[in-house]
Amino acid sequence: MQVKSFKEEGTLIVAPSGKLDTFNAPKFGNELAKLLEEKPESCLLDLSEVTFLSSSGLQVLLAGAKTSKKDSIKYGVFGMQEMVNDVFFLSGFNNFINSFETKQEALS
Amino acid sequence: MYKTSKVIIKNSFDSIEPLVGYVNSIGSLVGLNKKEMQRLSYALEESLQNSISFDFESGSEEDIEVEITRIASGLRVTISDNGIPKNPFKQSVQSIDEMVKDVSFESVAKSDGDEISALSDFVIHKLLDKYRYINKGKDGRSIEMTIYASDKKIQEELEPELRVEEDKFELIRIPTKEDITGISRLFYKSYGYSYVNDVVYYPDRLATKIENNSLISKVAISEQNRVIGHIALMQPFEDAKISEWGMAISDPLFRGQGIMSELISKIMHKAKTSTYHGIFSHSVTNHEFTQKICVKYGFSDVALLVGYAGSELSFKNINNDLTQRESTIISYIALKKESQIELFMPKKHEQMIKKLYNGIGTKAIQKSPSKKVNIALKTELTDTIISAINIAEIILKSIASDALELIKYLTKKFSIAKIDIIYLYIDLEDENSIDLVEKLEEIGYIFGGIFPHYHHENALVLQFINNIEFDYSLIHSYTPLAKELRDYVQTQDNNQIDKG
Repeated sequence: MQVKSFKEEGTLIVAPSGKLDTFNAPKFGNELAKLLEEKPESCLLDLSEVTFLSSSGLQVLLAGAKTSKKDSIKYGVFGMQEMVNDVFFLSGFNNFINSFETKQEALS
Repeated sequence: MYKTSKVIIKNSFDSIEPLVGYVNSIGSLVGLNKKEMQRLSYALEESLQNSISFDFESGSEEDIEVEITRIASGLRVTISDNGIPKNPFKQSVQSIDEMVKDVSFESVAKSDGDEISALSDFVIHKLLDKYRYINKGKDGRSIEMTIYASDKKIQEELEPELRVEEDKFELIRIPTKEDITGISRLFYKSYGYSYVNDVVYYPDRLATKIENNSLISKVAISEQNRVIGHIALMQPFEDAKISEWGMAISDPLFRGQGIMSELISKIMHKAKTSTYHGIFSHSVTNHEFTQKICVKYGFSDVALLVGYAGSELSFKNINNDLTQRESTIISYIALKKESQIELFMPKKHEQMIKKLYNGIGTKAIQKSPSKKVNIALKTELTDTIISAINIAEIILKSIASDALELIKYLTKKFSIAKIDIIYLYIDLEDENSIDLVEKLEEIGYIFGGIFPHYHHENALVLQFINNIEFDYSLIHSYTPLAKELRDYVQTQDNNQIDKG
């Protein structure tokens, strides 16, 4: 699993790739936590390269949402592949995390 | 033709991907579409990852057995291992809302699996048609995952316009291969896709069940060779000593021709000459028609399963919109009568249990407690989520000192997964059940009735209603005993809608 991060239009974009599974999710959680410590104005997770989102991965997304809320960081996810999208919605996490189909939609 | 295969993998992450690839190739062979394969792959990977991460001693090398079996119109994957069962004593399972409240990067980093397991089960059960956990006590545990191929399901299709005046009921017969699709079509015409037992929509599954005798079926045929009625005896589980009378349907265009009476009479004759100990029926309670038929054929009511079927159950040709989940009355007829049995009946329910047994011709006697009670080493149970109707069943096979905590854990897990009702079946011949029932009632389980030969020779039915209010005045009970049972259950349900 790799994690890229960069700024675009003032928004921190964090793009993990590969599987967000039981093994990788805690590592991604560490990286995301460090990035959010810098308190960006907004943070979007680009999930377009995530091929598997386990329940551990879901918890990391949620932890990110909680930290962001506490620090008033605008937070959301975009670009989910079909199965990742299914899992995200089936788990009801769409009630707690904003999700968008595309980056353009998320940035606007 | 592919039937079944068994793969043994080690408890290492590297084993998961090749296994998922193999299961996918079989999925493709049995006709699962891309989406169904994705769902099964996800469930498999998610389950194995959590199990490997949290359920084995660190550094240990253990076998995990995975059996992939073709079933009619789908695939069943059974994972068996000797991993550590989830720790029910921790009671750390939370609702999704609680999880949102408590989750943090720190909590994710130090998770030992119990929180993740609840979320994981919640997602997996939504992806599959059936998801079953079997705790085999000292023999380990198994998880069964079932998915059906949706394109094997009967689809709405245009039929040539039927001119009823030119056609009429002709005969009853065992269905031929050509009749099977007609049965599925008949259910679709009457119920849409809302019939409780969804096997009726899969001609392949129906054909297999008829072939292997787990479904004894009769069809009514018209002069123009159309399937215009159906009835069946269905085995509720493998090696069952009882059979369910049901799947009764007749084409509304042919009503008034005595089709249903003829079908019932034929299937009851078949039942009486079978080796079954008894026949039962699930009668819906939004009308009394089926209950009246049961009485006519000598059935007696034994249990009320509150909210057994979803409120989306609809009858295309009967204007009867359901405003709450549909409750069913279980009626039973003993084909092999026992005049007297000794049982360990919870004192509180002793009179009602005796009445229900009396209805089926058996005198129930309270068994005296033993001087030394035998208690199993470990509790054995099976829990199954039936996604199609959003209920769960727990079959308690043996009771040990961990039984209550295990059931508490499962109840919480199912509650989080937003399962509407949990039905629990306990052996009335197990002395330990008396104490346990009392404790289960303290955590919200209520009496449902008895169910002879349902996994136990004499099962007591308890039910847990997950935060749903029922209006019991909408549960139509035909017989005086059914009315009494409904009122009895109502008095214990603290969630009900008060019409007074």
